[in-house]
Amino acid sequence: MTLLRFLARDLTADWRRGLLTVLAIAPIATAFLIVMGISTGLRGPEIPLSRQNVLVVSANALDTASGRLDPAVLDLARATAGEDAASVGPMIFRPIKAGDTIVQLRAAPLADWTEVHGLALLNGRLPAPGADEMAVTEGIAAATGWAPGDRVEIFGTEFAVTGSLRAPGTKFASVWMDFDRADRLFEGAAGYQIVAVRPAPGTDPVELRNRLAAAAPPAVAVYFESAIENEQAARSATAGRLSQVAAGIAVAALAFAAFNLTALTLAERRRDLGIARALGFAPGALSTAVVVRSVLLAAAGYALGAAAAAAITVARPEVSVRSFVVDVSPTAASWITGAVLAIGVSAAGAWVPARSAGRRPIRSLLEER
Amino acid sequence: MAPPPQPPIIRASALAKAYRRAGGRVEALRGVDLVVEAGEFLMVMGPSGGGKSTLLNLIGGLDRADAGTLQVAGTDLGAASERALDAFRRTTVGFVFQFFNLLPTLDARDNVAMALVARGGDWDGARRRASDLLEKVDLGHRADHRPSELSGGEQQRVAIARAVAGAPPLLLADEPTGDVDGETTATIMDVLSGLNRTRGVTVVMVTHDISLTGYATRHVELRDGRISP
Repeated sequence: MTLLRFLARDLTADWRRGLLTVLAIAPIATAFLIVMGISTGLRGPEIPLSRQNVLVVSANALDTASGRLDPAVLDLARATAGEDAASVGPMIFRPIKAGDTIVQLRAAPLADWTEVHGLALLNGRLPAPGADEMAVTEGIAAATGWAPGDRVEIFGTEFAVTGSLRAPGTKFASVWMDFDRADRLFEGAAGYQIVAVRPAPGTDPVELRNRLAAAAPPAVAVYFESAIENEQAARSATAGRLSQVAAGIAVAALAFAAFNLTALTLAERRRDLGIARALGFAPGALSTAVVVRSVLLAAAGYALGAAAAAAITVARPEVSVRSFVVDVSPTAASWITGAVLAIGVSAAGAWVPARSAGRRPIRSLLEER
Repeated sequence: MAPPPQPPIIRASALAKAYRRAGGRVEALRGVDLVVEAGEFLMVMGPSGGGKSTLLNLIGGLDRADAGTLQVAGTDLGAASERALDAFRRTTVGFVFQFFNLLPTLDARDNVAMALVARGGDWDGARRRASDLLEKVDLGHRADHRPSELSGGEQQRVAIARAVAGAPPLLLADEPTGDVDGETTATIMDVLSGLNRTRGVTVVMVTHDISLTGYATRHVELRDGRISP
């Protein structure tokens, strides 16, 4: 109790230096949390294979969207999967430019939207078959701001946005159309890029994928849905790797700043430690006081930085890079990691020089200026 | 019946201490023998660099000797553990430094209270006692001021109040008047002398100001690391 009251007095009296420490840690904590949020968002949630579609795509296309499957592939997939597929359907998959934004246009038979692609209607309604209508995913709000009720021109045709969808497993901002309407939009020239095979309940998805791959002609490749997503994510400026590097830098920056700030502050007060030791305070008691002081300041700095990060990510929970939508909200693990880092490393930053000072002759501490 | 004779409060024998400095090894003390009886006011005089502050640091347990023996108030400082030295500083000695060595972030009252807190006192009680001590050095009205808001003389009186807060039997003063004006010098010396005469506190004071010898009961000269009576 005496220690805490002394610390309270010391912090109050030395509030400028304390505030400086808090203000120095806070923006680093904010940056750390946002970078960690972006990093986590880029990686996306892991979806079990049993809940993923097996996708049949062109093997040598630069990316999935630039391929075009032979119509016979759809029949081959149906024949190969047989009873092990709950559904086998074609899918148009093309990036389109809408204003200044690139989004993905995905089109599948309306009957497949829920069962095969797992789309859930959040508000509005699904497009009517054959109508100039489309639905948009949640990521579209971040990428374009489109919402149900809006009208959007695509390739010279004005489409009405009828509803918004949640599309699990995809990190891309997408507009969804009925397959037939999209096929007409491209006048049949686009063909289709994907055959989506939904494994039937109880089917081993890996065995099904392997069987489809074995039956596929050389120009065709077979992947799980997540592999396609990850490949596209990687092509978006190798975001996955970059995010991991950025997260590593953020961790190091937070640790480095916390350690050095506290160590520097303590270095300026070695003489004070000498005075306290001359009065008879034991080195252990002084180390404890110094560590607690640093932990309090680091906790305050982290809390301030975390509040700023929370405010920023609540105001802008997602950002869009081309059609790639990233949820920037930090995870619970990021909040905890940041707190442990900021507080733990600050404690170490105080303890190491305090312990070192405790081993020096008091005379030399008192000679510090 | 006469009280039994008290053992000397300080007994130093062949005390030696050297430092490494940029220019090489400096032998600050070269075999100092010194005995100080309880209740004495000993003034250690001599030129700068003669080893006076080093001797005081050793007596106060702020540093350890390289050779020789040193007993202070029954504690063998050469053999004492670090923990024992901490306890020794808490209970046996009070320090008054030339440059005051007050904690800059604390006000005068809290600076004095710190010495009592170090001895295990509670914060509120320590602050009350500190206020009383500041009154005794005529600084009651300056108790809420920080060192930067006090004059050199006032800071030194705060340092004296802190040094005697725990009622130690031994007060070590290292050039306590070295950084104050003549009028303040007299005030500080009166306080130290009063503590020696009225409370029986043993005072060992280092100075090179020869005009202050009148306050002491004895003085010795330390020159080139050796004492001459």
